Amino acid sequence: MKWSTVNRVRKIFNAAASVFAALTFCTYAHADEIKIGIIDSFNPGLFSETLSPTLDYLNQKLPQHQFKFVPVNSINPAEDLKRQDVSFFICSAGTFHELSLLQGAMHIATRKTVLSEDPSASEASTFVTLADRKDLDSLASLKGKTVVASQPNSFDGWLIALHEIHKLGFNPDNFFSKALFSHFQFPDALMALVERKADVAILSACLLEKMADEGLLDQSEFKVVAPKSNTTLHCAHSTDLYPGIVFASVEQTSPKLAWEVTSALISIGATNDYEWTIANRFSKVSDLYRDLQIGPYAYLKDWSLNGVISRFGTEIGVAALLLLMLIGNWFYLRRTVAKRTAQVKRTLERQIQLEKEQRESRLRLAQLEKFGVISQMSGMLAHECQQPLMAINNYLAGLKYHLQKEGRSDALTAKAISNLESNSERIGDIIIRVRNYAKRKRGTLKRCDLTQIAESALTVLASGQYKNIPIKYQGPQHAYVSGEPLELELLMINLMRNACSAAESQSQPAVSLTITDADTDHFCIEVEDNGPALDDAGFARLKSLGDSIKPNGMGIGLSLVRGIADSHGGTLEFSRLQPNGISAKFTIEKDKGNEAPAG
Amino acid sequence: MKHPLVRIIDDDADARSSTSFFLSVMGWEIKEYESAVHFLETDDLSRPGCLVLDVRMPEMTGMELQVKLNQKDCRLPIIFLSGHGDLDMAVHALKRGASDFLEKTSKPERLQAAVCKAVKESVALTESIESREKLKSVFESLTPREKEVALRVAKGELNKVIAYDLGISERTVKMHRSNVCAKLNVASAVELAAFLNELQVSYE
Repeated sequence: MKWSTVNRVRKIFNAAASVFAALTFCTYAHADEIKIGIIDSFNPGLFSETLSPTLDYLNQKLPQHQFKFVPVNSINPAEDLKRQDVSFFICSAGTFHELSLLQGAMHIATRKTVLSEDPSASEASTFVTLADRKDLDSLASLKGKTVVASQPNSFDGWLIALHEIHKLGFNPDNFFSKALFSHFQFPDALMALVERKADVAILSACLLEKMADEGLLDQSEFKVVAPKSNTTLHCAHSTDLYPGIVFASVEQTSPKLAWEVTSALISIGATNDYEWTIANRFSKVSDLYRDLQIGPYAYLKDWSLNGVISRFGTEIGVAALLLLMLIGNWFYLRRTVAKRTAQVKRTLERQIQLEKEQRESRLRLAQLEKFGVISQMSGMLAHECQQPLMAINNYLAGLKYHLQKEGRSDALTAKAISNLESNSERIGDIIIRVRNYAKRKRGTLKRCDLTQIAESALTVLASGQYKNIPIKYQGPQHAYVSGEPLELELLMINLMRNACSAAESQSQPAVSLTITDADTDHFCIEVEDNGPALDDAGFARLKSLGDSIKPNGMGIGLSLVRGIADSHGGTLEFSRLQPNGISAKFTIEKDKGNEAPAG
Repeated sequence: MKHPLVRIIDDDADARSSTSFFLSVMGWEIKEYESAVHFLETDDLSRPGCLVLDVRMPEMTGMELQVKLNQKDCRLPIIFLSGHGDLDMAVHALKRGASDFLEKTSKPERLQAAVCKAVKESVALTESIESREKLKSVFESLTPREKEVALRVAKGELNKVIAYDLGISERTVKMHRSNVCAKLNVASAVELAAFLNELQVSYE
C-alpha cells in the first residue's frame, strides 16, 4: 500500500467520524424524541450509506416523531438501552439475537445490501492477507498466526470468523497465537497487515471490494484466504453467510409505533446500496453464539465461581453432598475401624495375657508335678530301700549287742560286724543323698487361703483336658490354712483330674469341689464325681493307691496327693457314693492365727 | 507298777521284726502290731512304755494314730520312724507332742536312746500318777471328822479354835490330830500341809 493511499483512507475515516459525532450531538435537541440506539462499531461507510438516509427518511415520513440516533455501549447494550430510554436500535444480527433472547427485543427489519440476494444471508467475514503470503492458503494454515480485527465483539468483523474456525474443528480461543484489535477494519487492520504486524486480518465481507471501488486500496496487494463460492453474496468471503444489520425495537416500544416504523422502513424500498426488508433465518446466529459460548451462552465459558455455580449448581450440590457423604463415611469408617481396632487390640491383649497366665500356671504346675513325681519316686525308692536297710542295721546291732552280752564276741566277728556296719552306713548315706537330689526346694509353710487356691486350680482345670466337664464349686469366702499354696493347688488339681477322668465316661459328667468346716479346727476339701460305681476290688485298689506309696503307673498322681496331704499334716480319705461315684476328702488344720488375710 | 512295754507299729514285717529283734536284745519287752487299728483295738494303753510308730501305713497312718491317742488322752510317748525325712511332717508330729522323730536310716543306737528316754518319761509319769493315787487312797482312809480336822490343822488353826468351830472338846481334837498324823505318817502341821498340797486337796 502506498502512503498516499493511507492518507486518503485517513481522510475518509475522519469524515465518517465527524458524521458520527454530529449524530451524537443531535441527541440534545428535543424532549419528546424517539431514540434509536446504535450498537456495535460499524464500518464508517455505514453511516453515510445507510443510517443517515434512513434517519432522514423516518423523520420525513413520520413527522409526528423526532427520531434521533444515540450511541449505545456495545459492551453492555441491554443496560445502556434501558438507561437511555431507547425505543429502537440498530445492531448486527448477532447483537440482535443476543438482545432478543435477553431483553425480548423485536425484529423490525433487516438490511440487505445490493451485494446480497437474501437478507438472511448478507453478512460474512473475510480472512484477508497480503497477496504474497503463499503460505496462507487455507483457514487451517492460519493456525498459530497473528490476527488483526476491529473489535472482539464485532459480529461480521470477528465472531463470524471465529465460528468458521470453530466449524473447522479448531478451538477458536487458541487458534491464533496473538489477536490484535485495531477498532477500525479500515485502514488500521489493513495497515497492520501491510506493516506485517499481523499475518491475517478479518474484515467484513465486501469491505475490501468497496474500498477498492473507491480507489482507497489496491486489491491486488491483498488476497482473500479460502474464499467461498456462492452466488448469494457478490463479494469475496471466507465464511458462511449471516443475516444483515437489524433494525429492532425494545420490548416496551408501543405496537403502534413499531408498526409505523416498520411500514416506514419497508416503504423506503431498495436504494443503490441497500434496502430494509424482512429476514427470518436467525438460527445460524443462534448456532454461532452457542458454539462460541458467548452472549446468552457466555455462561458456558464462564469459569468464575459464580458462573460455574449458576451453570452446574445442581451438579455441584449433588457432588458436594456426595463428597460430604464420602468424607463423613470416611470419618465414620475411620472412627469405627479405630474403635474396632482398639477393641480387637484389647481383646487380643487380654487373650495374650490370659494365655500367658495359663501358660505360666501350666508350666509352674507341670514343674511342680514333675518335681513332685521325682520327689515321690525318689521317696519311694528311698523308702523301699530303707526298710531292708533298717532291718539289716537292726539285726546287725542286735547281733552285736547280743554277742557282747553273751561274752562270745571275738576279734573276727567284731571286725566283720564293724565292716558290715560301715557299709550299711554308706548305703544309708547314698539313699539320703539320692533323696536330697530330687528333693524340691519347698517354701516354708505360710498362711494361705484355700478359696483362692481353689479358684486358681479351677482355672487350670478349665483350660485343660477336661475343660468340657462342668465343675461345681462351693466354698466359704476365706479358708485360711498354713501350707504351701502351690502344693495345695496341685493336690486339688489332681483330685479333680481324677474325678473328671472317672466322670468322663458318663453321659452327664458332674464333678464338684467343696470346701467346708470339718469341725471347729479343720477344713475339709471334698471332691466328688459321678463316675461309674466301683466294685470292692476297684475301691481297694484306689485306696491302696492313695494310701501306699507303692509305685504304680496310675498311682503317681494320688501318691503325690498323699505326699502333699502328709506334708501338711492333713488326712486323705476316699469313700464310695451311692449309687455311684467317689468322694475324696482332704482334711487340713485351720490357721486361726489371725483372721485377717495375710499379706 | 506294770513293767514298761515297747509297742512297735509298722505294716512292713521285716522292719517290724528287725526292730523288735534289736530292741529285745537291748532288753525291752516288745509287742508288735501290723497296723494302727490293731494296736488301738488290743493294746493295754495304761501300761507304761512307748510307741515306735511308722509314719506311712495303710488304713490309718502314724500321724492319724497320734491324733486319735491325743483325743483319748493317752499319754504314751511316741517315737516316729519315717522313711522320708520330711521336716514338715516332723514339725507337725512334734507339735502334737511326739517324743522323737527318727529317720529309718538312722543308727539303731539312736532308736535305743530314744526308747530309753521315752520309757523313762512314761515310767516317771506312771509313777507320779500311781504315787498320787496311793497318797489319795491313804487320805481317803481317814474318817470324815479326821479329814476335817486335818484340813484345819494344815491351815494352821489352833486346836481350841477347831474344837469350838466343830462343837467338840479340845481333847477330842487332839485325839483326831494324832490319829491323822499316824495314818498319814506325818509328824507336824507343816508336814501335813505338804502332804495335802501334793495331793492337791482343797483346803476349803
